[in-house]
Amino acid sequence: MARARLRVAVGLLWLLRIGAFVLLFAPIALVIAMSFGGDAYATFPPRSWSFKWYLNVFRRDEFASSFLTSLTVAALVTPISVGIGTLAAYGLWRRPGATARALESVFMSPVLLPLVVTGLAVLVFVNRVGIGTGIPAIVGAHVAITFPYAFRAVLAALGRYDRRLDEAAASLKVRPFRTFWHVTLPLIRPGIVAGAMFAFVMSFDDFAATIFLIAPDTRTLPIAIYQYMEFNLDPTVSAVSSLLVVLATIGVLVVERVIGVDRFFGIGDSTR
Amino acid sequence: MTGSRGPALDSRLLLLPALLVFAAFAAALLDLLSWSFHATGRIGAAPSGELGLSVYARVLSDPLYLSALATTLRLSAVATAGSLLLGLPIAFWIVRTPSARMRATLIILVAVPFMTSLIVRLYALLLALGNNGLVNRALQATGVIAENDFIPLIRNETSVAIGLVYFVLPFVVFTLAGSFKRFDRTLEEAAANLGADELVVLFRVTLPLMAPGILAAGTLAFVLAGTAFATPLVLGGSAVRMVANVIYDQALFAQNLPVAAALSAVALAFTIACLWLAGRLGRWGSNA
Repeated sequence: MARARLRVAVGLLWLLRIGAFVLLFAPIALVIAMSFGGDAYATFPPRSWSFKWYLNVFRRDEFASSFLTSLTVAALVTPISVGIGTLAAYGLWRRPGATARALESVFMSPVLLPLVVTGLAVLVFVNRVGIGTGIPAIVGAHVAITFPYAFRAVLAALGRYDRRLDEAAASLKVRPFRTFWHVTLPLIRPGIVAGAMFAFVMSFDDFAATIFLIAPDTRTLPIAIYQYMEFNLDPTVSAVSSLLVVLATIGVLVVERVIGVDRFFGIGDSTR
Repeated sequence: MTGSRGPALDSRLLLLPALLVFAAFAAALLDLLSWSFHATGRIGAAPSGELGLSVYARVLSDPLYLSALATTLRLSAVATAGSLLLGLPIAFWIVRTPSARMRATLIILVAVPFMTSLIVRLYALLLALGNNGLVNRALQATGVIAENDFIPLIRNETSVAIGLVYFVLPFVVFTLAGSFKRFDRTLEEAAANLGADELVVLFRVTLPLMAPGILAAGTLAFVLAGTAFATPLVLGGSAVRMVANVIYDQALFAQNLPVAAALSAVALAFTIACLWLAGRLGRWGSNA
């Protein structure tokens, strides 16, 4: 009786695990298969096979130029967010207390905002101050979105840092900045790298806030993909998508090599 | 920054950039919210019309907005339940596997879709669920439905619910696994030694101990699904409108900024209320 119940439960557990991974991977596998289809519109299974949609990705200016825009935005946002986040985390960590805890909540509070609200607030703001939409507005919104994550990643790394190292340096009359640069910074580097990667990916992928801030000649890759699929049925989007899946896979493997995926996603580093 | 000043002054200077960013952002948000107290206004013009709460009264009585709010709550609840159901077995697997390589592999398998652009994943799901998509082809091939028949799986709440589960699942798995990692197995072993079978241990010992993690992951899923924008846009089209989509339409197409601002306030209040409630529940649970 108990054995039979257990067997049902174990069966159910595996069914759910398989279901979850099918949901996560079947659509991605499908998109990769479709990108090699030869038909002019998406049919499954494809009747012929072709590489022409990949050539189309590079031939059509909208994907190349929006990819460069996304790259530019993420390359601007990442150092700004990580710089601001690192300074703030270090500043709070050096003077712990009630004020520091309150400021920590203040700096984390932008994550509460729905992304569309962030996008709309920045849109109203840039119209009011006369900047208008475009790359500066997008960068501003992305800094507001990503800097709490960079701040938190660095703060977590500082939590593992031994304060006595600073005291030792101070007793040797080392100036605080030199201590920070030569002792603290190298030890919290994994946190900074993790924060930078989060900021970069979130900026590169953002859709909900960015869609408020695009200008006619400036749009990011996720927006260009969306606009293309609104009006076209051919597998070019599948080809772009497959390329982005490859990029994401490379990114995850790099994270595993540099920081370890378990630590990066906050699942603990008990085995390291 | 050279360390020539006192350390106290240094620390405050370090906070300055973050405080400036926060202040600019808070100013922009307050400015947006202030539009909700004006009767009329559009982007690029100053707010006008009389001051008051008339916009809120309109938003909370118009069936169009009320149905968007109801749809949002309904789909978020479905997405939360679905993602917990699928996420728990995977999170459990990640923290319980004895092999470090297996753990890393499982995390990577969840991380690759997670790090893939959301719009790409939604497009992939659109291809899978479309009228000629993978699911309908499979149903035709297996004879569940006729050769030229299809089940409408896109542009409706079914596709948006599936999409929302797909969107929040990696967040749920990582939140659950993160909270389970420091989980002490002594109690489970004690229960097993006292003769409890595996299912009794699971439901009476393991799951209650995991409740805080499940609450945290469920709250995150509910908030993320409740403020989702791209998922209903791509998979629901004009047939399924959630709050975030109505905010976008009202601000940019209807040029009705007060309503967009009032709905933004509602969305923000929704997020804060969910987190506050989860905090209360968590404290109540730990006292019980």
